[in-house]
Amino acid sequence: MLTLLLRRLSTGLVTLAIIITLTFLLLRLMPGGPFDQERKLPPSIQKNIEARYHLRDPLWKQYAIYMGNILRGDLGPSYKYQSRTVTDIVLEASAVSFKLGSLALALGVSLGVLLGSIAALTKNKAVDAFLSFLGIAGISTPMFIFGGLLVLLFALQLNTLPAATLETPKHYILPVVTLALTPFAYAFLLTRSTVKEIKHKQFVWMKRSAGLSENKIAVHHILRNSLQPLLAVLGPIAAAIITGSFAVEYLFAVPGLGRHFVTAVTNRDYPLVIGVTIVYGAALVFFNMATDLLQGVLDPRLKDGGALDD
Amino acid sequence: MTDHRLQPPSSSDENTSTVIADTASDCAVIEAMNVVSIAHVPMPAAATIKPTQKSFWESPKACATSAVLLAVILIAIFVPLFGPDSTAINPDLPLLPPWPFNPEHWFGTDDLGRDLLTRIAFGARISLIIGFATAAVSVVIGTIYGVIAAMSGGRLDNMMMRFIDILYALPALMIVILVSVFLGRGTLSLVLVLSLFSWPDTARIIRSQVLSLQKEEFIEAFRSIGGDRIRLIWRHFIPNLMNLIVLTATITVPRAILTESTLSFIGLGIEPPLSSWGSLAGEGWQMVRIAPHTLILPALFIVLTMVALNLLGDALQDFYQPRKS
Repeated sequence: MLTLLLRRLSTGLVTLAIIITLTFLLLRLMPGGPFDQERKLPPSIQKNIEARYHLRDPLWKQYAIYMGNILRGDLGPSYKYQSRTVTDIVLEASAVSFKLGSLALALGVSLGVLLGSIAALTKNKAVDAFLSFLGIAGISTPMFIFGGLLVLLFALQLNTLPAATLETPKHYILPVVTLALTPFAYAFLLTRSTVKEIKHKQFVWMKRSAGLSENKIAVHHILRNSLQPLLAVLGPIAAAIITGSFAVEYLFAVPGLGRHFVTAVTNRDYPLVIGVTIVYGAALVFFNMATDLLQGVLDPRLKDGGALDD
Repeated sequence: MTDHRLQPPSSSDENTSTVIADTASDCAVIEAMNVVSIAHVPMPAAATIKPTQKSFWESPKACATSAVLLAVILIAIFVPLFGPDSTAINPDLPLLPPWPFNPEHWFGTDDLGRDLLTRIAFGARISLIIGFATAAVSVVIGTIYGVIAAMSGGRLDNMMMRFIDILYALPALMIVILVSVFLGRGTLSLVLVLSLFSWPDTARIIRSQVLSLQKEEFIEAFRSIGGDRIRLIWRHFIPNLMNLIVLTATITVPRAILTESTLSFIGLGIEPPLSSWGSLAGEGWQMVRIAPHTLILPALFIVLTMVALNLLGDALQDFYQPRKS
């Protein structure tokens, strides 16, 4: 278990370093600096500002300064919001995205696993066909369309739910439901196909012939074994949902990480872009690690750090 | 290694290998008979994937989805040729809804009075071209990469797979956005940027398939009589991989369309004067209060096409690798 943990931790750190380096290089290669505006600043002022933010130093020096600061937890000043540091902005935005994302993830995955097992275990072909269509429709509908149509229906036509921002709990309903779509669809399709495969395995027949009730078999034996493959894909999905989706945050005017990333890219607010990318990369590394470890706990064959090859 | 990529469960490597295990035994018999005439080995039909249906078109799912896709493609080709001019601005008819039916503008008009059906048809061209071109690029790169990795084996294979692991661990959408700011946001650059993160899926699947193909007796037999590598690839690997290649391409198209439309919706995708379904939906979203049809109609086309493509992928999967149930 410890070897697995250490190995995952070290690859995670290497990956993070690669992510930071890559975004740093990409941003510096981009045409146009953060202080090139329509109204030309006097050259001396321009020079001073650029010197203040180390933009005139050679690339390797900027990189070294930046890496050093990151190690101390300082993501630097935002070029656009002068009174706030990137660390502040990123922390605040992640809190918003995290709250929304974890609700959506919980809703989507639990609903997906529930309906997925129902679809796989039911003897009613019509129910399975209907639920499967929902699943396919779920992976086929982009979240921005689903959210847009929900707003159109519930906020604009029926006038029952608020459409934007996050002021009251009621404001959470539409964005959470929208964000839950993708995790729901993946959880549903994966649970359905694994449960269908497992329910014909020998050990299930064994339990049945031993006289266990169908419900007990479904929950204790089939479902437990079906969660394994779900966990494997859940890492990146969880990271994507919890750190906020660009489109959904844009749609509902939520001040989360995704929205900050988009505005930061258009504003050429380099440190903020890197800051958001680091948080996202860290979340990705963390969730991949967490799901790997959980798999190790659920499946003893993985414990010694080996991969499952059968 | 576990598969960390978001993908529909059915496309994972494991599925393929179970099928191979099943067919391996009958395959050995067929191969034993063929070894004599190894110089012109007949294609070992059972080596990889064995269809159960005689024809792909027996499945109603396949027919229905292909019909929908064909209809969308025909709209994309012919409506811009024969429909009203989409650049003709008509200030008298802004935001004309499609209901009641108007023979001039079937789908109504946008905020500048331009015909929405023609704009959607032009958008279809961009969305479909980006989807299919991305699939083509990533399938070519992925296949070459996968075959090289599997055939070289050892340290090179290991390094090539580590590189893919790193790509998987990167925040793909963010890097796509950054690179597209850098490369510009035309059709070609979007295709390249989207391919950047979609080829590794193909590479992994192809690699694992080549690895198991290499254990097949007909490949060993070919090697033992001194067949060269290039011939091995062209005569044996590529034909045996064709089904899988078509399948991964079919899975890649809707993903590329999804990503492109999301980027265009938030205004970071295709740039005006070009527009895709995503950017049309994005424009529609700005006017959703006064003219909901400008959002609903492009959205309808995206969802319909995506459902059709995903079901087509499903039908292909059923055809090539019938699930046991």
